[in-house]
Amino acid sequence: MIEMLNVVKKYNGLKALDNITFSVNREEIFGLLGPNGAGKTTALRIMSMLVKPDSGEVIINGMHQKENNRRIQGLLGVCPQEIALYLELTVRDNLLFFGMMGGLSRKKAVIRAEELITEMDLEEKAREKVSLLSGGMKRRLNIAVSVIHKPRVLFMDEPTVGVDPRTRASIFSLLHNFKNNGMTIIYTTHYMEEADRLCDRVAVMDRGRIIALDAPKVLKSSLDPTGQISLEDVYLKLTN
Amino acid sequence: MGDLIRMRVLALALKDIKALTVNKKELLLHILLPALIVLMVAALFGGEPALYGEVVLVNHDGEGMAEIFMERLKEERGLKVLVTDQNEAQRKLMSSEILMFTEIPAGFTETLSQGEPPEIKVYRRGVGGSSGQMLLALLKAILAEMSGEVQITRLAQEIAAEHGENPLQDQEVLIPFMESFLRSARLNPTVKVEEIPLGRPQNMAAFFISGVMTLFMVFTATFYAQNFVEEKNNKIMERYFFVGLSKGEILLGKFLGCFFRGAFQLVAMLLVAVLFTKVLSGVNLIYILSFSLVFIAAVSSVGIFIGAIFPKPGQALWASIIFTLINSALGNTFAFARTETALVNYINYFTISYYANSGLRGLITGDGLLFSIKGEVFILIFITVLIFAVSGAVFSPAENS
Repeated sequence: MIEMLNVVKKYNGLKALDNITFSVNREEIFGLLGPNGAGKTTALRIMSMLVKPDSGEVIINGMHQKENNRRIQGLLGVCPQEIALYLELTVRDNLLFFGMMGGLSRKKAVIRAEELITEMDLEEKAREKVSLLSGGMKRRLNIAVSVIHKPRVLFMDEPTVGVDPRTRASIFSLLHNFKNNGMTIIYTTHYMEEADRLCDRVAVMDRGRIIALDAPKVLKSSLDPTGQISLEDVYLKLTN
Repeated sequence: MGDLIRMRVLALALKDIKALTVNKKELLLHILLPALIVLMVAALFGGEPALYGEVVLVNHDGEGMAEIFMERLKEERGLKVLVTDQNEAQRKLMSSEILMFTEIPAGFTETLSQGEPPEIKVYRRGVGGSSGQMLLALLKAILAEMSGEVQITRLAQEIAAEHGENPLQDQEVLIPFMESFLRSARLNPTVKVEEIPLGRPQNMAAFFISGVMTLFMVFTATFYAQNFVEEKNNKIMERYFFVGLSKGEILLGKFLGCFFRGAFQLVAMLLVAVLFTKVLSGVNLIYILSFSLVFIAAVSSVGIFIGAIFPKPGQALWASIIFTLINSALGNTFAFARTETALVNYINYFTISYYANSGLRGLITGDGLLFSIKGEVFILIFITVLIFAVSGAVFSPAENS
């Protein structure tokens, strides 16, 4: 679904991404792991076309990013770490607004908004202002708005930062639903246990490079054939 | 495709209006406060034509000549005559409510009737202000005129008494004749000043209302920049990008959102101005509305520009405050330079408010036609297009990209 080929990105002469190459399969939950400054967010922003690479190629759904900017744009959805919502508008108004922004007619946007309100378990809060929702509800709505236009690929930048275990579990459940409905998800996180539980494959990044890439199970067994080791141990070992 | 773009741009703009209407604080700041300030200006100046003075009189004489003197003062256009007692006049002067008052002493009529120089007393703080000096000149001129009339009448009476065959009979004929002659002389003075009214009368309400309107339109539009940067920072702009909006659509939608907010505010201010002042009415109002919309477009593009270049909401807020301060301190918003060659007059050309104030005042107190301020309209449209284009070049929906 996504291919990153020899991608380089520098900021002020420092290499944020140092010639990285990897691919993400269709309908896969792909985790990008690494310490702060490893290049996860830069990789995510380049894949999602928010940042242009200095060199290298990004191919999404068989299309080169450089040549098919607008066509690719419609396939992508991003769920930022921030609550990117209009706090003074209601839950329903936010969904309707972004639905219409996504090119849905008002009628279709209403239908899609109701679908997502149900899916996110926000029926009782649909008429409430977002500012009055709990943190977990805001997170769920943040995700709902990201998929209002039914993207094929969803980028999620640490969407579980600061959320309680219950909300986290409900987010995981949502992501599995999305995957089962044909969506590809690229996910950055600091929580190894989360990546272990959620991701089909993970790429461990350090200093702009990919130092390991495989299924969590395979990475763990490569360091400890008994499988007793956790992904966090693998991560700490790989990143020193 | 075109319909879709139009729909999305419009939805983006209307969302900003909806967000404004559900946010009480913003509604208070951007709609109610400007309307209240316009109401305050209306209450202070009432839309009445500017007076060039108010003369406060204390009449200790109470006889015929004092009455004629007061009548002559009342005949002066734009001059308000207020008769009061000595204590009240002194109290007002001491509390600076007035800068001068005039006392007509007892015996004024008698002195004047005898052909002696009439005497009045003028009490004033300092020189009585610039209007006080003008009033003093006017008082002297009226007194000199009255004195001259009395002296001519007395002279005629003396001639009749010395040379007439029947002095009493002659005087009966002579006095009405002289009165008629002097009345005619007043109506046909030897010095003729033709007053040619051009445009509507200048008045304080018009001056301040246009200033207040300009100030708030600048403030609202540039203040919007903060909101714009916040949307960049909390990734809402990125959302727009991912739901398929182009950079141009995002900018145009935000520009229209800012424009609609300004228009909403303008309608509130104009409504108050129409209801509570006499300076805005009829066809003129349509022109004022149209011109103000052009100005709102120009300041909206400035707001978008500030939003596009600054990465932090606080920086955008400061930029908008400084821009608003410059445009309210300069640009003839609330004050004019006394001399035409003052440096500030040249600096004014570089402020956007100068063109707004010039256009608005031209419409309110000039001939009221949009055509007569075509220069200002052209400049504001030029500013709108130029700044919007520059904003497009520097704007990115994603920070740090």
